[in-house]
Amino acid sequence: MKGNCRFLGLALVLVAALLASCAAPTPEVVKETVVVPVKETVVVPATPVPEAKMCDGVKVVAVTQPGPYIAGPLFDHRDEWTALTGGEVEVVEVPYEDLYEKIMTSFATGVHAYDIIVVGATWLPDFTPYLIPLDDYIANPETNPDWEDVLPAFREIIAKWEGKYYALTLDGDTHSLFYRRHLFTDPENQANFKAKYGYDLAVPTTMDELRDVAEFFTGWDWTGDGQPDYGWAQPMARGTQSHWWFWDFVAPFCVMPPGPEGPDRYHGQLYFDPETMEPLVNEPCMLKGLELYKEMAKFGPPGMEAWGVGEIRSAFPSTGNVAMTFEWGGFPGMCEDPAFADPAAIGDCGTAPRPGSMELWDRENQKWLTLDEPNTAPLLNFGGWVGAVTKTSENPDCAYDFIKFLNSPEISSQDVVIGDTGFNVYRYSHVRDLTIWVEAWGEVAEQDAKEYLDAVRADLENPNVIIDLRIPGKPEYVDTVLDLHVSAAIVGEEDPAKALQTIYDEWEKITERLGRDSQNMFYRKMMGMD
Amino acid sequence: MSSSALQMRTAWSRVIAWLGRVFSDRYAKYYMVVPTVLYLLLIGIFPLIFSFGLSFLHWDVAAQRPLSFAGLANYAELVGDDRFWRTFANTIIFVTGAITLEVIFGFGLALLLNRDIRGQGIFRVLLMLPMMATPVAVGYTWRMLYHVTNGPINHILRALHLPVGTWLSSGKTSLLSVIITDVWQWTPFVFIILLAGLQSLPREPFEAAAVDGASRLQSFIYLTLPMIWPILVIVILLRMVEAIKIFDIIFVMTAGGPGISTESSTMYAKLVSLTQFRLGYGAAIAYLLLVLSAIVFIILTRVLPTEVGIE
Repeated sequence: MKGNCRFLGLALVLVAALLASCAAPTPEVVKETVVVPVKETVVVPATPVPEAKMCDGVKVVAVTQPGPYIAGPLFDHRDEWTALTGGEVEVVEVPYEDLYEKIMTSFATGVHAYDIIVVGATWLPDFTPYLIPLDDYIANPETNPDWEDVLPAFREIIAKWEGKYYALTLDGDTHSLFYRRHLFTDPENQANFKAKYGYDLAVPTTMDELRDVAEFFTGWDWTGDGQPDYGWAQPMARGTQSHWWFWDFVAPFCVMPPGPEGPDRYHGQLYFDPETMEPLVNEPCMLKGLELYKEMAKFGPPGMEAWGVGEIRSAFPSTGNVAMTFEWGGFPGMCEDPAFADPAAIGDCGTAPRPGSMELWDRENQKWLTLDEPNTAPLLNFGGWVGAVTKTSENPDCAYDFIKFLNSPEISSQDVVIGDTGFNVYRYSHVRDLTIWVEAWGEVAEQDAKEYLDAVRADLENPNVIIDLRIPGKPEYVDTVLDLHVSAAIVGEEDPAKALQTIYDEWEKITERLGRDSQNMFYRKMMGMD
Repeated sequence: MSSSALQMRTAWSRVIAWLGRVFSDRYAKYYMVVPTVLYLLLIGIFPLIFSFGLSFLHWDVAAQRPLSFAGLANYAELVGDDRFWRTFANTIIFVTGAITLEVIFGFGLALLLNRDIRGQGIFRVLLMLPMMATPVAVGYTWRMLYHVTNGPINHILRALHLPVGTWLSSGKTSLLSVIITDVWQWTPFVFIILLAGLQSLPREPFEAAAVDGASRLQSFIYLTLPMIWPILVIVILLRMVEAIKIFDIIFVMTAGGPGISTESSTMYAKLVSLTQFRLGYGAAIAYLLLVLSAIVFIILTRVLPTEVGIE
């Protein structure tokens, strides 16, 4: 107890002293002013502070199909973008078959999985509720992606939905006819062809000629390897995008060119009657095209019924035993690639617009018309791949900037000349400048490059150009119904007429379920009719 | 000690006593299973109930429509859905064909290797390799093997001057080709289970039969088969449960084609749910498939007796 009192007393003294020091500060007394001589300032060189970049510390996640096609350029250019902006890009690769559903699942469940989606333009209508419009970025001179240089079809159609830009174009897709040029210039082939068919051998401009030329080059050894070669190749298996070849074959028989005021009920239509939303798929012209598609299978290598696009790429440029095919614009790049192509194919890959038809179905009057000039109706198959920014992105500016970087004339010019990027021409600067192609492919391919660019330009400038179906439920209309029954018809599992009638019935059910009026509204918008 | 401290100590001792009772041996066993029960509820039961509820709703994500009650509409649509019934028929053909062949080959191999032969260990490992490969790798491998022009199977047939097959290219042969692939991958499973069963059989009945002059065939029919029968039934049922869910191999090899010739019901359910995004209808397909599978399962367990008496 005694010790405690002593400790308490000491504590009181300390507290009192503390209080006293606070209450009465000691005044400072200045006795004299001391002038301190100022020393010369020594400037120590500071460690350079890196200039802050717009996306420092930011990571954006982009999802697309696995490389090398499409994902390849994202991987190739992300480091350059990182050097410019400080941002980081993670690329998630999802197989093409699963891409739509993976993205849609993340959107529908509200899970933020991706900042950027690089997807087929044809899916854009389904995704737009979950994407940010890019109009403000495009309108702003500082963030404008040199947008006017993008070809109108790939700027105003595939990147846009309901009057707003939701994406930047990264790829412009359309099929062309590819052919082995030397076969058509060989005098012996020319003489034999004329003897058999009664007209000159030339690059086909009509579907009838295509059939004849394919037949002519089938079943004999024109490569000199001791094996029979073939006139034609096309994908026919389910789930391999073969439905675009179906449209290639039917469009010239079905699509009547629109007038100057654009598509109307009977002109410029391939998919639906824009007044009633009734499917056009069971019209006689569709049957004619489907039967031709089926017949062309006879002029391809055995087993083509199980082929996808990959097998065509293997057969035409690599094996080199196929005379003609329809394909996308990445094809000539593969043809000129010594690592991929048969040496004989390099510099021998001609390109032409897809053939037209001398017969045209007049739906309004329900009769066939015989034409003096072939009717061509080039479809923008798939439309192309586009990059868009999701609404859930926490860094939309950086996400947009990465897409803009890929879309820029400088970067995109590097990608479109390489076959296995999967990115094809979509800017004026791509089609006008032959030098970038000759630099990439070599002098030997100058003629190939010229023909390719001419063919693409001819299709894009065609007033009867058709865009891919882009309405809600498109995967159901095409991927689960049309693809199945067209595939079944061309491999002989279903009668072609019955297959088309089944597609018609199924499409009607889908339209009814999704709402005829709203589907009609979307279809008319897609066709630019409203 | 103050009275409040005393009260607190008393309360603590009551709590400890209560905890002691609660965690006594009598109840502890129940607490041990709580995590498993919760896991099952969350991972197994909840999705089951949720998807069952979903099958009575219209949930059309692609159409961007709000959820609405469908009643039995999804099931009514399913009854008239020709494509579903065609895929169900494909599934039944696949299951029946694949399991029959797997049992024949697996049992044959098990009988062959159920003896002392040189290199038996190597044979067993080699035979089990296909089972260890992923279905996607198996699918791609067989897709290449079946390739009509460049595939080794047709090369061998040509070399033997036999007609080449169209395999996956024709609707007539595509399902058979998929069945062969499944048989290649899963025969080892049947083999390994039946081999273990054969090796566990008692020797005495066989020795007695041999003394009585029974032939090998008689020993097999009257001894081996009855004694291995319960294991055989289990193997068939296990394979049936797996085979009825077939998806991956078909998806890789044919995507369900040509036409609809190889499309299984699970592929169709996936197509409806995750391509068309008709989640309610997809759930109805999954449930009807579950019910139909259960019926087949029950019929099989009735038809296949689990015991065969030894005469």
